[in-house]
Amino acid sequence: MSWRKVKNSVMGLVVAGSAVLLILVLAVILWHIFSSGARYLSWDFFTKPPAPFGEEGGGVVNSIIGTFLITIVAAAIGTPFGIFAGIYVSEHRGQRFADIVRLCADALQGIPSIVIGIFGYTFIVARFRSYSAVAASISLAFMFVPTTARVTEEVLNLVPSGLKEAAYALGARQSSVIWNISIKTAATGITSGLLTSMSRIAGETAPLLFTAFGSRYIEWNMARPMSALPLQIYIYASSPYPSLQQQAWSAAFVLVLLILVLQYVSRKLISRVLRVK
Amino acid sequence: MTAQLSPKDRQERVRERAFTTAGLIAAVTLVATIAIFLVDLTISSRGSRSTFGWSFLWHTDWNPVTEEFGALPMIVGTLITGFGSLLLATPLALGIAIFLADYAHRRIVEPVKYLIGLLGGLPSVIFGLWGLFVLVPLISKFEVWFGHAVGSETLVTAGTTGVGLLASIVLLALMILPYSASLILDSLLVVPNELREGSLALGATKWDTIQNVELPYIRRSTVGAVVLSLGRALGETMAVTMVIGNGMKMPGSLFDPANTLASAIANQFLEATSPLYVSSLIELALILFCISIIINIAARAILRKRTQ
Amino acid sequence: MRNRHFPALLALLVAAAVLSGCGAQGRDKTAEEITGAGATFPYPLYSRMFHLYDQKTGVRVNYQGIGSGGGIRALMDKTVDFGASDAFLTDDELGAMGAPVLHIPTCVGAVVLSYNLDGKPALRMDATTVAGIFLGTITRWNDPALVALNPDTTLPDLAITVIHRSDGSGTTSIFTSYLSAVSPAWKTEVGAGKSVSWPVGLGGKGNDGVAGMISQATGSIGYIELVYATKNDMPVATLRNAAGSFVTPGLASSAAAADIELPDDLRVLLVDTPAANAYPISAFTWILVYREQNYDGRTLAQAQALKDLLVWMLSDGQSVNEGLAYARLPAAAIAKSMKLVDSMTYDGAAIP
Repeated sequence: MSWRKVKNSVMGLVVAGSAVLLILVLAVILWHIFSSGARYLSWDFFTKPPAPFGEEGGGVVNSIIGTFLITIVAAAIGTPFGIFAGIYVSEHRGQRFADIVRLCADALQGIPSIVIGIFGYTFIVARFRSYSAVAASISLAFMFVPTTARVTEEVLNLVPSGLKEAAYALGARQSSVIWNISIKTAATGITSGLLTSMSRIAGETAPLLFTAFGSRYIEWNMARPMSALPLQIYIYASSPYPSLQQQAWSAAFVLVLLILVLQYVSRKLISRVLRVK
Repeated sequence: MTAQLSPKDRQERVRERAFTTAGLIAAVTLVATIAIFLVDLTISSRGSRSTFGWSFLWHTDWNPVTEEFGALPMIVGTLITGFGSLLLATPLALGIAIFLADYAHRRIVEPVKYLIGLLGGLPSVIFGLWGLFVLVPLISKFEVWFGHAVGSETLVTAGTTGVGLLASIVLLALMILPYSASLILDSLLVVPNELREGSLALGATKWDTIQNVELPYIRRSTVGAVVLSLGRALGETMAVTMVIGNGMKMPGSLFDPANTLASAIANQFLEATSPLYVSSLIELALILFCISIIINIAARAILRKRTQ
Repeated sequence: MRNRHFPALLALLVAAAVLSGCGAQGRDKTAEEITGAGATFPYPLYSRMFHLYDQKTGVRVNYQGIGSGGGIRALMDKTVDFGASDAFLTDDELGAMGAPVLHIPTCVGAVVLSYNLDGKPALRMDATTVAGIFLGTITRWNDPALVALNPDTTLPDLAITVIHRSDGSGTTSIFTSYLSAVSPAWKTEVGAGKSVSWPVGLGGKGNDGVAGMISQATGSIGYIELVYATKNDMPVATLRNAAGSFVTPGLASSAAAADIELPDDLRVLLVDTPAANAYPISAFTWILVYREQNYDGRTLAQAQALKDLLVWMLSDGQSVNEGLAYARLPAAAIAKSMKLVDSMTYDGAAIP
């Protein structure tokens, strides 16, 4: 009897102790990342492009714009595919092809981003003989679609079947039911899913390595090479100059902020869905 | 009444058709994408596949000068970092999850969950940044100390820069920890309280309950979480690329620099000038692709069985 | 339940799709932007040059330092307007390009041995010691060979950590060509190339990666372009050249090294040249372009823009070199380079 009590106390201490320690470590890591980045934020940082070699200062406005454009375009490309695939799987739940589609979405989600980058290069950049932001967006779309499809499917499955049956009973066609009932009901959840997927692709670097090429200049044209925050961070982190390394931290801070905002809005929407249920 | 469709009916029919077609197209595209990836990678790597055949998988030489390419150093690097980080992270994830589910004050569970989720959502390149400037110097200090402690000059030399397998394992462990921990925590929270109470009522201690009731209950989802984390660890690119040190040779110890399949590609793809070099790198991608698909499907299958 | 966010987000996405559609009409590469990729060796120089050029002409040159191997590959894949490399193309590589490629040098730089030791001592080295270090036969800083060359400095009993390039690098090509020229052992065991099988050492990516690694690890030594060392306040070794004198890397010694008979296509190594005060690991770095500019739908305007850039780099642009410790091209080299640039054609006709 007492052996078990001893074990209980010991294990309790071990588990609690190590967990608390670990949580503290994680908190310190997070705090360090935030503080390193926040320390050197300046107006210049947000508004100027990088300075040429040897000159101090400069900023990452070109990368901020690039991240916005590339992410939004990737989401634009991926949303129709993702949502409609999600609709398809939800409507045909239980059928073998739908299961295959779901399986493929899962598989696609697990493909390492570097492989996606290679595909982006061989399929688009090499074929069209030019690095471009569009190539980057298309590559990111490959990562955007499966997560969107899964979220859409799951949210649609939550729509009470009673609603749909009532609509059918009233003589509505399938497409009408899907659009007016399922989607409109699930809209908040789907939007939340879209935002979450966007927050994920915004931070991806590997697909950009072989497609976006990077650029010192502010670029609005999607058919040209473009910079982006993750890419800029990677390049600056590998440089030996403390000023550039500092900019890497600050750029990381901006990127995390962007991702957090997307996730925050997404979470707010989900909680609204859950509250209504 | 027969035939003539009102314009409204026709419109609805068209929309109906459009909707079904759109759904089908999207679904087929998803499936086709996987197929296209596989085909594209296979075709693009035919140069190295025909030159080296299956021996590509166990050749240890990766030499761009002599055009001899073997994937073994990268495969070994991938497996060591993948399983190493899993070994390190899983008990830690279990510990955190058990702590939060059974020991912690109810009110700190949500904020801690949020904190952990925040960390887990950080982009890989930011982990790499932190790893390069914070973790690597620490690891270097440890490795040099360890080398002196065991009296091994080679270890001390290898540890001078800090980059290498050990740094990658620790960094990867930190990256997969949050996801693992939250999966396990979620499944622990679902354990019916009656089971817990029943066990305690029978005179079991808290730890007895955890060990004999809760853990077995979540065994399947723990395995699923572990496999998913392995999947993520195996495919992780940027953070590993930044701290693994780019070794082209088989690593001799954990302190040595190495490469994973992903980091080798990230580092060399844009500069490979000969067709054989390029196709060898693409073959690495093909290997990585297959590994990740298998692991991912296995993980989801395990996790889904739990709910049936 | 209605959701007011959903339509807004959809609208935003649709707008973005339209935007990208407009922007992505074909390969919208107008003459206002030139893309180039390659060597990190001249990256500081090109960065300044292109900044100046942008201010002067409004033409943006987007150059990414991905390594000489990357530059050659990018030109081969035709994803850039020009490549940049410190290693000239071998005959095999020229063949693989499929069309004639011109090598236009832009400066003379120096590959230096930089190291990290307490006190930043100025060290002397020679061919034997350098080869020994990189072959792994000399493993500690207080090795007799090093001590003999540096009687006035106390060298620590510290292991030498060798840092080399992990990417396909022209700087590696220059350095290993030097080693092959001065060390028969190196030539047989390792050889020269953009990427070799290093007997010892850790790999860094790019000149900046190597510089970074050296600066972070005490006792390390690596080879980098001169400006990366001076910018980071890192000590560099004085080397004994072919004539027997110890030479510090810099403008004068690089220029002296380039003072030799040059072939017309300018594919020549400047390592271990005979001049009395030449620095033994000096090198040209080249811009690579296809001679025939009408490929893949390139326009005459694009060819003209590229040619104008090259002409500028060979003339007014040279004023940037010395400020960054790259030597200007000798007059003979500029003359031959201009000839090469003039031989660029569009559809067989000279470009105005």
